[in-house]
Parts: sequence; C-alpha cells; structure tokens
Amino acid sequence: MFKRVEDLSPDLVNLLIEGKRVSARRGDTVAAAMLIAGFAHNRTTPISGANRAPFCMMGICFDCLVEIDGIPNQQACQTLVQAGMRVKLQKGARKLCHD
Amino acid sequence: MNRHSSDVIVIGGGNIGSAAAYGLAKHGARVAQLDEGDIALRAARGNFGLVWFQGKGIGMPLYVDWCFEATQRWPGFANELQEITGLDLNYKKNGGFDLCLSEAQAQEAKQEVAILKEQTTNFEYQAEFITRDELQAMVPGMKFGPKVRAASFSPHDGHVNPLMLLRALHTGFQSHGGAYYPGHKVHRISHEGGVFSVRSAKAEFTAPKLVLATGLGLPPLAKQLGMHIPVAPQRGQIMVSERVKPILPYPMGSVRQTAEGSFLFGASYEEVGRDDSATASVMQSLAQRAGDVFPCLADLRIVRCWAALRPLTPDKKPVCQESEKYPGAFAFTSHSGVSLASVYAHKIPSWVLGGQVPQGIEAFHARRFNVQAG
Repeated sequence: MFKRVEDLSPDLVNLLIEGKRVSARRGDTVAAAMLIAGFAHNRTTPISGANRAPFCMMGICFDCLVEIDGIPNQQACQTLVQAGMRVKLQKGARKLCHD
Repeated sequence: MNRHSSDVIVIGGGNIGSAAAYGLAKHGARVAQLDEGDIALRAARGNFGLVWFQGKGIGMPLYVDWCFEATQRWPGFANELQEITGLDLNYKKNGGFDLCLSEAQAQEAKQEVAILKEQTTNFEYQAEFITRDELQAMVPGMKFGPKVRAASFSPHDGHVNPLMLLRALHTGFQSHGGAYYPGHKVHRISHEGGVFSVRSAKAEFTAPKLVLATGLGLPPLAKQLGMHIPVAPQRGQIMVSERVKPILPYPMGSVRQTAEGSFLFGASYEEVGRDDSATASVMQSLAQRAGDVFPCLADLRIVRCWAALRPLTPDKKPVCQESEKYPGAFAFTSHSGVSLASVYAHKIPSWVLGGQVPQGIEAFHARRFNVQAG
C-alpha cells in the first residue's frame, strides 16, 4: 500500500516485527517501517478488540501503540528503528504488575 | 452595545458557577451565565476529579454536613446530568482511601478521623483508620510499597471525570434554556432600582439577582458589591500515565485510575502566586511518591502533565453568602467545586430564587476572616 519516495540504500537497519524480518532505513520510525512492511494494524483496542493503525503519525493519537523489546504501550510513530529491535503488536490494554 | 435582561446573572463558568447556573435554569429561571473563557485561571479545567468527603471540615461542622449531603446527592446528580446530556461522567462511588506514608502521617490521620467523628452530630460520620494489613486486604489487586503504613477509608468517597462534569453542566444548563456567554470578562457591576447591571467589553446584562462564582477573580467583583472575600491561589500539579488495564477501583487521594485506564498522580501544594506552569521538580516528587505507594507503577510511562491554581480562602473552607449591602447578590467560592457540585445545584436555586436561606449558612460567611482592629 505504501511506497518509498527514495530507495532504501545506503543506510539499512534490520528489525523483527511479529517475528518477521523487516528492513527499514535508518531514521524511519517504527510506525513507518510497519506500514511499509504491510502491517495493516499495530494494536487492538482494550474494550472491543478492534484493530488500530497509526492515525496522526505525530505523537498525539496513541493509536500506533506497540510492544518494543518487551516494553508495552510504546508509540511507534515516536520511536526510531534500531538494528535488532523486536516489535510486537499491542494486544488490548497493557497489564500492570504480575497479573 | 448589546443588552440582555434575565432573572439571574451568573458570573463564572467553572464548576461552581456552572452548577449554580444549571440548578437555576432547571428551576425555571431565565439565566445568563457569563464566562471569561478558556483564558481564565480556571481550577475546573485542571481538577484531579475526586468527589471527596473524608478529612474535610475540621472546625466547621457545616462544611462536613454539606460534603456528606453532596456525596448522598452525587449518584442521582450524575444520573440526571447523564440523562439530559447523554454524557457519561464516569462517576464511581466505591469509597476512597487516604494513604499514610510515615508514622507521623498515620498519627495525624488517626487523630483527624477521631476529631471529625466527635464534632459531627447531624449524622454518623463514616470513616475509619485502618492498618496497612487491612488496607492490603481491601485492595488485593495491587501490592502497596513498604512505606505505606496505614490509611483512612470512607465509603462516601468517589471520583469522576471532572472535564466531563464541566461539559455536562454547560450542556445541561443550555438544554434547560440557559443562555451561556463565553468571552465576557466582567469589568463593572452596578445596582440601581433593584436591578443589577453587569458590563463586559461587548454587552450589558441586567437582572434582579446576581451570583458571583469567579474563583480567583472573586475578590475584586465581590468588593463592588460590598463583600470582602479573600481568595488566594495555591498551585497543584497533576501527572497522567499511559492507559493500562483497569486494576485500581478506589481513588486514593493522590493516586487514582480513570475509567479509560490512565493513572493520575496529584496532591502537590505550592504558594507561587498566579504562575500556573508545571515544573520538573514537582513531577519528580509526584513520581517518587507514586512508586512508594505502588512499586509496580515505577515503569509506567507518563504522557501528560499540567498545573492549575486552587482558589483558597484563608481557612481553605467555602464562602457562601448574600451581600448585606446589595441583597440579591450572592457570592460562592470553594476548592471543593467538584465534590460540592451536587449541593450547589440543589441549594443555590431555592436560596437565590425563593429566599430559602440554607440552615446555618452564617458559618460560611467571609466575616469570619475579619481581624478586629486593636
């Protein structure tokens, strides 16, 4: 659905999104990397479980939440990709403590 | 210049003014509500959202009575607003805790509960001092940190989304036919032939009755009506976390979880004049305390913070009075604008429109602040 305006070279970064190896350009946000890799949603809502994708891409809407390296509720549009990052969909509300 | 006449003018668009305006319009009065606008130093837009009973009113039984009546009225009040406006206020009355993080705080809380029980004669004062173990047993879902020594609990306490309350009051007021005028900062009030005349830069409003509820802006307007009411700002700061799965059903004075899942951290007190900016040092201490209360919140992400100014009288208790010099003019202020909203909406209309003076209201008169000369 999304295409890059410029090509990927020269500065390539590899990360894992839902276990799938994805290449992004250094300086991409996680949200951009997910969209271009074809992920149609990045989280499900706490109440109805509906799928959500990034909406504002500027840190306001909190619809782009994902789990990054084991830490839930991260804003994918406010986080730059890094080599070896492990990204997972945010499923429902973050759970606290040991529950 | 535009001219508007009504039965009552309410000056102030915060919680007290809006509760008064809503109640007056509901009782059939033609009401004009004047609001400075979002530029105002409005405590109502920075509120933490407690509907609180315990710990208030030492030395002033009337304040305890009003807080109690307010908690009794709140469930019906929230339902009524929801039915008229379709807005969910997220009001919950599960009871609330005030936590003690030191032995000194525990002693103080214990004493407070005892004093309030002793001084309350019109109803049974329900609040209990409880140990740490009892507290942990009542809140099994979250583990308290080692610094938490004890708490007080009252079944009357609750919490609400304060912004939805304000919006519902404004919406409910207008659906009862009230006329809301934003952007009308009041410059001058005069009185002639039984009619008050209120001027903003854009219009003149006239009515035989006048209600002042302008928080920090109260002293200069009240003075024009012969009332001397000291009100000073006290800054409070609030921090909001990311949304997480609802786990804490009780508000805890300085910590609560909203219906949407955010944690709110508050309860800071600073005397810094009219500076309503948020500061890193207070945020740090709020975060520190949050981690002391619930260690598992330590890695919670903070997404927003703000500061607002509480309008406080010298004894931090309400002022409700009618002007002796200009009968028909009333003044109200309190920093319990949310907690007492249900009572203001109920008591103010019958007093202002029907002359039914609330029992014992003298206790809320600002003359208690007068220092005798010599």
